[in-house]
Amino acid sequence: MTALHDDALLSATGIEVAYGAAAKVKVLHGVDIAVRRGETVGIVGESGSGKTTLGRALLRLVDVSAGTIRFDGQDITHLPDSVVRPLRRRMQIIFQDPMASLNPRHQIHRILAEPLRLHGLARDEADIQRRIASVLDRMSLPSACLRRYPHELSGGQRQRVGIARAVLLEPEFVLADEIVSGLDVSTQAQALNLLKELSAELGLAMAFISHDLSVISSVCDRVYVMRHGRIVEQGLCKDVFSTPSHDYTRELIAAIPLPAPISGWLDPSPRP
Amino acid sequence: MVEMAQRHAGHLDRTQSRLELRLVLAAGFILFLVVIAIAAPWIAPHDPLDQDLFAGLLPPVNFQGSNPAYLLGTDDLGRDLLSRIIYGTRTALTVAAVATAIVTIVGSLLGLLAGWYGGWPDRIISRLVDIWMAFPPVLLSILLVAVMGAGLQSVIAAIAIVDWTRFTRVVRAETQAQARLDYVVAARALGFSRAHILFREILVNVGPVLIGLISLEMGVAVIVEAILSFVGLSVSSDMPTWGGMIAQGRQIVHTGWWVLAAPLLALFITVLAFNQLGEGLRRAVDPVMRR
Amino acid sequence: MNAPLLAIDGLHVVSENRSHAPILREVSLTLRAGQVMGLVGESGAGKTTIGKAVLGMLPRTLRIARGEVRFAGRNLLALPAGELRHIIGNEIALIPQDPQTSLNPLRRIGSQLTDGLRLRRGLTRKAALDRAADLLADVHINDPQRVLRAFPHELSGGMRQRVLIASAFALEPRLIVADEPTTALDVTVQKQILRLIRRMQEAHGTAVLFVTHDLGVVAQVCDQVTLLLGGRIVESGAVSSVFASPSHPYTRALIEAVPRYDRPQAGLRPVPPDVLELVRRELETTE
Repeated sequence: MTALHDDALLSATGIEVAYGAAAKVKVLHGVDIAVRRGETVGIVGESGSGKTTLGRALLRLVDVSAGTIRFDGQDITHLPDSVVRPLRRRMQIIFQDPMASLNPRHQIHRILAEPLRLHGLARDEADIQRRIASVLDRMSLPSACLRRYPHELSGGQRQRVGIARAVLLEPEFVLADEIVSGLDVSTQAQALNLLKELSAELGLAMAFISHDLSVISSVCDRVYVMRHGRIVEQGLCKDVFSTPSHDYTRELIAAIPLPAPISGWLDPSPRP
Repeated sequence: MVEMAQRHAGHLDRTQSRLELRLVLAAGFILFLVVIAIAAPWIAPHDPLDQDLFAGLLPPVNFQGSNPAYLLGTDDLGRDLLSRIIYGTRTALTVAAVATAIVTIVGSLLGLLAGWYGGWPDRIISRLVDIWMAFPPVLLSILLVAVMGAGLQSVIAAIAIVDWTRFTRVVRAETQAQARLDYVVAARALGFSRAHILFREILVNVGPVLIGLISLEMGVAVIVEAILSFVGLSVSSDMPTWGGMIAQGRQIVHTGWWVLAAPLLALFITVLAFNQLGEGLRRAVDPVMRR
Repeated sequence: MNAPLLAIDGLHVVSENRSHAPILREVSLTLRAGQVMGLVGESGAGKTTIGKAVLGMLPRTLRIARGEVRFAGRNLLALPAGELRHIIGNEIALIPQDPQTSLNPLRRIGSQLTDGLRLRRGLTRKAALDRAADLLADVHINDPQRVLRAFPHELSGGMRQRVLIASAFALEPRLIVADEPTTALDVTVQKQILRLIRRMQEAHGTAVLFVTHDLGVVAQVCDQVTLLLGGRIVESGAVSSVFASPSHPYTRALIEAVPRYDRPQAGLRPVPPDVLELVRRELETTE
């Protein structure tokens, strides 16, 4: 595992996160995770597993009470905000609900252009417009949406704006937090394909959080299975899903209803 | 899939902004008041202080015994009511505008800072608000006027000093609610500074609540001024104020009801207009409300 | 005995707003006693609307243009309100979607569970509470007495859903409309709840109209399936045959688009353009 952490772009060891007065409620209990360049890592768990908190902790959006986070070799765990902010360009997040993660009173062109200006990524205004036009094209978004507000777009379009906003900054790491969870199956496939293509084109390191094992199996190389704030199993997707070693992983897999009727699926699994 | 097929050609919903009748009427009326207030010396048919004891207590036109030179009638000292109402508009609007501006800027700023930064700024500001709100407002106003002397400044100060707390409380709560939303997390993840997020992301979303507060506050300011001048604590008695006119009219309501009715009506319609303005403005200006 | 329990015949529902858009287009389906039918479709397909029509709960923004909903031979749409009230809640029950909001947060579970028993069966408070405790035991709640005294917020999501299921079966209805009953639950809890619903349904001989967007759930839990698109029925039949060999290209595309952990490449097969074209044409017809 140390080898994994050594050449990882983003890695964390012994992460603990606690909320509340006197840090009473522990949400993460000593989690180790690593993501290398070019690989897509899945983080799967049910509600209360801590997967969302882990994602936010990795991006320094949530304070950790113990542990170390390294990005590109640098220890960023306790860096002051002013030092972290320029780093943020390199590690981006796409949210589950674009209706909540896009400022409802900003037009799309402002949502996309302001981060570009902040990080000085473009040479001039014309360059900003060019980059935005290019990413809209890539996401199959009509240029008319630039003058619109988020609620004037469809759900799928909003989701693609969220993705566009993240990739415009040319990040090296992207956290996708349950991004297909609210989508219809048909739109889901489109979004997942888009993500895979982008990841390959941009050479991204990606952490994909989801409660849906099947979705993770279709986009991720490796997977971390979380439960109650701990990682109970990890490994290559094909290994974990075909021969899970932890009971909870087995339980998760057995609970997934596949779109092909299996007689006796509903029966309780025999106790070992 | 449904949306994919329907939006495939790229046509999107465009929500229409609704210039409602209420907004047009309210804004129009306020504008009308502003024009009157500014142009008072040219519009008013008479000098509001001009007494003519031979023309005392004349009723408004269309009533028996009226004089067309005095459209709304006269008070017991023969002063033209219409002119006095027109000049009273000046005081009312000045107080409304300045007091509201002070309260908005001070109260909102403190509320935004307390709600966003939390920690000890919040503790200090919230404690201050709690203590401040414990003082009875009327007493505070009287104290202020006693200290500063009567006049427009004292009235404005009295209103501002009492009411800023309300703004702070509401804006703080709204800021906290907004701060919990994902778009704020997104802004942090994009690398924006805390100050930028507060003023460039959150403030615009606190706006609708603020617009409501401001229009209410303007109505409140007009009424408080009327109350203060009713009890004689407002501006010096040579300038006519609606509150002063109400105080005077109350005493002679049996002999000249119009002396009381005119300023009351003016007050009522003005406050109504401010309230409707706020509501209509929110609907017209807020992109989210337009859907 | 061979007459279907529920027969929806040519149900056509339109929206009352300016667009008069059709929400359900000539929908016809039959459900026999004891059968479990999955009503499946993507968002906006109309599956929830059918469920609401059966329950007599269509919002005022929708209007029934034509068609019948026959329950045990009687057209529910033509019944006077009094008779309808006798049927809904009694012979037709609902398992709602969101266990968070479907229970009154200010009333104890016991008081909510006994409402129907006392009102419709005339049981005394004590008798109703005893029966409610039995019902909770039926849904595998270990400590019924504690749960009866509890408030909704004191229970987990899975527990709340069990309470809602108990409530639905309390009056021994002949038909239950289950409106996405497991959508808000974790997948491991979902499996337990699905197993419970199926078990209760088999024990009581209740027919179930199971509304869901999840094709996997339909495949494992339902006997019959009806797939909706844009308010129209696209395909309908026995689960075993529809999933093994779907006849409509939309059905096939949808099944293939579902991600599967046992076939990692599945789920990255978006709906092909010719099917999309079909969908678009389907949605644009105003009939």
